[in-house]
Amino acid sequence: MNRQYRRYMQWCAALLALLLASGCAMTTMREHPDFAAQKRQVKNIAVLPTDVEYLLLVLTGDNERLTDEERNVKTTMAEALPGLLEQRGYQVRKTSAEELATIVKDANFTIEQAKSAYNEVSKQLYERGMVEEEEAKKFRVSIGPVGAAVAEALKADAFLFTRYSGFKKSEGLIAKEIVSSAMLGALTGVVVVPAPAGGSMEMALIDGYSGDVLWTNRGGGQVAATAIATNLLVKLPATGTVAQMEKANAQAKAAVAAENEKRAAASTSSDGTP
Amino acid sequence: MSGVRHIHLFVCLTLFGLMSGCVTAPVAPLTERNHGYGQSEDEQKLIRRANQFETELLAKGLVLDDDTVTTYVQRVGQELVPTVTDGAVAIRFHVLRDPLVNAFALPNGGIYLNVGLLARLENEAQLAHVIGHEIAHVVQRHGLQQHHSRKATIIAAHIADVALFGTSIAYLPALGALASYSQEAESESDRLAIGYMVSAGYSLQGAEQLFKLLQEVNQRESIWGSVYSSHPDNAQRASETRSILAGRYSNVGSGRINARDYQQIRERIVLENLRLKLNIHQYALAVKAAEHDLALAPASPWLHYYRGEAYRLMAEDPSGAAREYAWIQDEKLNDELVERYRQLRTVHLDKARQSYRQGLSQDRNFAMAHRGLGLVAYAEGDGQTASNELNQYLNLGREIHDRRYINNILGRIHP
Repeated sequence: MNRQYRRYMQWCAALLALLLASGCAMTTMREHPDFAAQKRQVKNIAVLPTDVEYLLLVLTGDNERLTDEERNVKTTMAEALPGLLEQRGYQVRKTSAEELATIVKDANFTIEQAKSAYNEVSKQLYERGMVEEEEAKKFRVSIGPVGAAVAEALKADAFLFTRYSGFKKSEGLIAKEIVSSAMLGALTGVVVVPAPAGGSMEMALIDGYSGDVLWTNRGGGQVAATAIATNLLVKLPATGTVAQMEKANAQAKAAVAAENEKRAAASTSSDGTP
Repeated sequence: MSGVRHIHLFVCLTLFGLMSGCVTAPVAPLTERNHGYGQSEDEQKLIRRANQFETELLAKGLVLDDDTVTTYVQRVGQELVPTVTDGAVAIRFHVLRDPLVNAFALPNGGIYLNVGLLARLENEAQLAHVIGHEIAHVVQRHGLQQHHSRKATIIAAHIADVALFGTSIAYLPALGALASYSQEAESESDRLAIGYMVSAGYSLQGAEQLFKLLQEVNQRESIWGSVYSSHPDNAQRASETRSILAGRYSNVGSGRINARDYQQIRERIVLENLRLKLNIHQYALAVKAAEHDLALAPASPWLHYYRGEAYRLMAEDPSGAAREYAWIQDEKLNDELVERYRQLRTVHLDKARQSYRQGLSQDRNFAMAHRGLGLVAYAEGDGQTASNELNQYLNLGREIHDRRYINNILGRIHP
């Protein structure tokens, strides 16, 4: 099965597991304990260009890269990500591959090395799949000093890298899947409509001084890449005034919930009858 | 589109696919007059993909930018290209910053030799066989033949699996679709490579030595099924090559081996290879590679340093070290294995310290040894020693690329 499609299906399976196990709050997010406890001050973030791979999946398996789509996704992500981070209270240091090449020696390779190092630690981070929210804040992994040169040149406290794998299916493949689903449906009474397109995304925020992985999240769906990014980044801990507002909102909600509970308890008479 | 129309389309496409798989035109090598390179739609697609792939390798900075090494490899390569090719394909030679033991040829004439493979070779004659083998893939248009047989698709999927578990070199799946060949194609390339070596005046001992070397390459150090690993099929290749050498080429005189020139190039490559291995958490493999090279060059402070780094990182990343062990041994990764590596922390830190000190004994001003000793001391909680050593590193080092990282550590020692 194609790698893109397999990642997408893994993400769907994980989402299904989440829905089924929604009694416990499970998450795809991971957070360094120091970041979760706000012991690391990250004010400005450098956003690296998104890695994009977008495939046309075909019946024969001879899949094709759709370079125009890839360019579009890179552009829309470059436009969207800074705003999404600013909504979480961070200052953003925007950069392009061209700028990086002029200010960091061997920038492209250094960034590739950082990504390779992250790929390795990502295996440790995600070997258990979804975990409970409290468990998600206990991950201490680092990519080492490899990314510090990039963060230093960009004068950023941390950098965010994002990779997106997207696919769409050819008419022939869709036809084949519909036939397979129909045949299976005739046997089992259940018909699953195969997705004609989709994508999955992973983001990682790396400390620009220590190389520690501060926060990661992954997800996917049959929506645009920027929509997936929005859903992932809403889980990034906020900072500054945004964090204060969120804290105030959470406290207000908790106070209202406590008040409602008190009233519900008070409206019950002492012998338990309403 | 209605369901019925989908079914019709599916049936038509399946039949077409089955029929087109059966009817394939023979592919003429570039040595023939009317080879028709680049005229079929299939081959144009392959060339386009190969061009895209190369653009991506360059954009990621994966192509080694070292004039001395590149000029040397290009010189050897051009001597081997058969003179009968009409220039329809520009055969080009590059070195890839990849620690896997591998080389590959693309349908557009691009030939890539990984740093991991070059670090294993010992002389120019061995290199000549590797390059000759890859040239043969291009000349014989094995890429197009493979595309017709669709094996590449299956191999691409399999290589994608390997890529997910074994290594993080992200380009591997694309490579599988462009540069994976049948056993027959590999054998044909071996035969032709020998012919190219004879024409260029290389000693055929290079071919025999190469196969012996490859038998020592752990399959995990290369790509699944690669001709550059100790894959079981390769023992047969070695046997076939020996038969050819004993038969058709038994009267060929000794040719050039040119070990000295190769060693000078190799010195530039081995350190890059070690650095790349450590970046993808191949710690034990880095120790093995460093010790192999230290046997040849015991006075190299850099080799001692990288061996030290491998041990230090094993100590600091027991999960990563356990994962590597499980991957190499094809065992299941479990908590017991990780705990075993945690227990070895002190041993690994001691070995790291010894290695750094050996590096320092070769060169008293070797700044990197101070870096290593400082990080070991920091890992052991000895802030004073860590601070002294890391400051020595910052003072002695000429080009410090991780000043921020080191200053961050010093900041934690003296907040």
